[in-house]
Amino acid sequence: MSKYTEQSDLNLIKRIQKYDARALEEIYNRYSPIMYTLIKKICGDEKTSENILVEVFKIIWLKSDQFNIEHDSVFTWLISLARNRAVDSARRSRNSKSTQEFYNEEYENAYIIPSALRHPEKYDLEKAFKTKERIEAALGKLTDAQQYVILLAYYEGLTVDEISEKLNLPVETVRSKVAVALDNFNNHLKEA
Amino acid sequence: MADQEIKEILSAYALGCMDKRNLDHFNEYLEIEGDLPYQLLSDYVNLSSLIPTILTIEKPNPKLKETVAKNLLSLHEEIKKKIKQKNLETAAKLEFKTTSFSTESDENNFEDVESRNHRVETEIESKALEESTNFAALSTRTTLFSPQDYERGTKEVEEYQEQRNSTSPFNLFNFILASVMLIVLVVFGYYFYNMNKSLGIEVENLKARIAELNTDLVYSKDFISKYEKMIDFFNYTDISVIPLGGTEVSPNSVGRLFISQEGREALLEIKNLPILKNTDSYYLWIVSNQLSYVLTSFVPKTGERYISIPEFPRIPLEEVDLIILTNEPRAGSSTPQGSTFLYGSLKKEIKKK
Repeated sequence: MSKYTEQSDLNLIKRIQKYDARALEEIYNRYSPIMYTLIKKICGDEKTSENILVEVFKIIWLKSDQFNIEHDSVFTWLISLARNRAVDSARRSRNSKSTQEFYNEEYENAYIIPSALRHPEKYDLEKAFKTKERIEAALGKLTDAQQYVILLAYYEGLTVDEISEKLNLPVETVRSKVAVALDNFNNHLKEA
Repeated sequence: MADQEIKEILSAYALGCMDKRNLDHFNEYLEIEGDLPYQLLSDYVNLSSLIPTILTIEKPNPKLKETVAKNLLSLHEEIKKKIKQKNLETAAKLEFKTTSFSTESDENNFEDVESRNHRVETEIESKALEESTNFAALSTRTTLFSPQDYERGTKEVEEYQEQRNSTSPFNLFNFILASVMLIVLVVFGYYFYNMNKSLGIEVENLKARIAELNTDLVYSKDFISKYEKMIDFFNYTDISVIPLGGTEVSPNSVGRLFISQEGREALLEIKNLPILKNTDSYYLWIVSNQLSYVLTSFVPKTGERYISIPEFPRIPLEEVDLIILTNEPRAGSSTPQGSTFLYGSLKKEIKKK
């Protein structure tokens, strides 16, 4: 048991890439609570959230080879994957079926699986949670409007156009607000 | 592109609120590694992934883990397909490499590439099989994530890794050792089989020889019992022989009387004597100077040839007129009264000499 619990996230992903089921189990043990919380925050429904979590782990199991060992952060990749899959589900339930794109392999590769980063921050779950207070402080320093924009974009999965429509603001303004919100968050976090 | 505009694009991408058309364009730009502040992009993406850490963490239903495990097990075939596809891609790359190596003549290159490709295919197939077997071994579990299974599974993986890591020279050595031992065993087995076979034949021969010797022994015993009297008698050096001929009563009968004066013993040899009535016996008479003396009386047993006469009277042989064998009543007779079966004259023999 200890063999896996002592492994880093990166080593576990390397093992998953070789279809090591127990490495996947360890990743599940570590990440399922935050992933489930995130998915439930986006989808709201417990059953749907559970189904999506299962789907996410299916993607990890089958497509971990798309994780770039050199250019990706495990933490960022997994959280982004869970968020993308949940947002996609939320969008599908929100929009009419006729406008939806068929969910297939190609779609999943393009819109669900996160793209590789060039300079990943070496966050792991432990480090991320240790930074929790600083993150809260940094987000708390944002204006209500900035926080709301982040909420709409990140959790509700609204696009810039949709936010613009919802807030009755020009698209350019929304784009600018999103950029400012994230930039401030970044700066506040560095300061905190 | 202005910095602000780039920041807006990167922020929208990182927060996942870019509309589909722009997202497609941006992904294409990323794929061709277009000119972008990648450090800032990474910062933004990392930053957005930190957002959910401030949520109150809620653990999923523990049963969900089992559902995930079962779901993954059902993907066995899909995994195998992926491994095969991956290996085929590797094979294609290796094939490309083998063709680009060629510097010799076209014909030689063609053969070389063919053989290399064949070897690569074989390697890929075995690798794919190996990996799929590995996965199959894991995927046959119904409770993949159960704690009881965990340690066993870990152990299995370690054992499997050890097996895979075991060095081939050692295996080769074991194989050679086993082969040599097998050959030695076969040789020894064959040697012992032949030895056993020849010993068996030897034993049979000895048995036959013993049986033969037993027969000889019986024959010898029989011979000795038959001729014992004669052999003993012939220890004397002064033996006189009186041939006895048959009469009209017994034309086929013959006999001889051996006399040793030194030992005062005699031996009667008889052949083809008729069987007498139960009340009669044979009587051997010696007639000298018109007087008859009984040498012996006997009833011959079946096959008996020699009748010993332990006391021969003190009569010089020159004075013996006749030797006769008659049948007389068993009660006894003082003179020869019955039929004569054999007769002989010593004087006649002496005269012949």
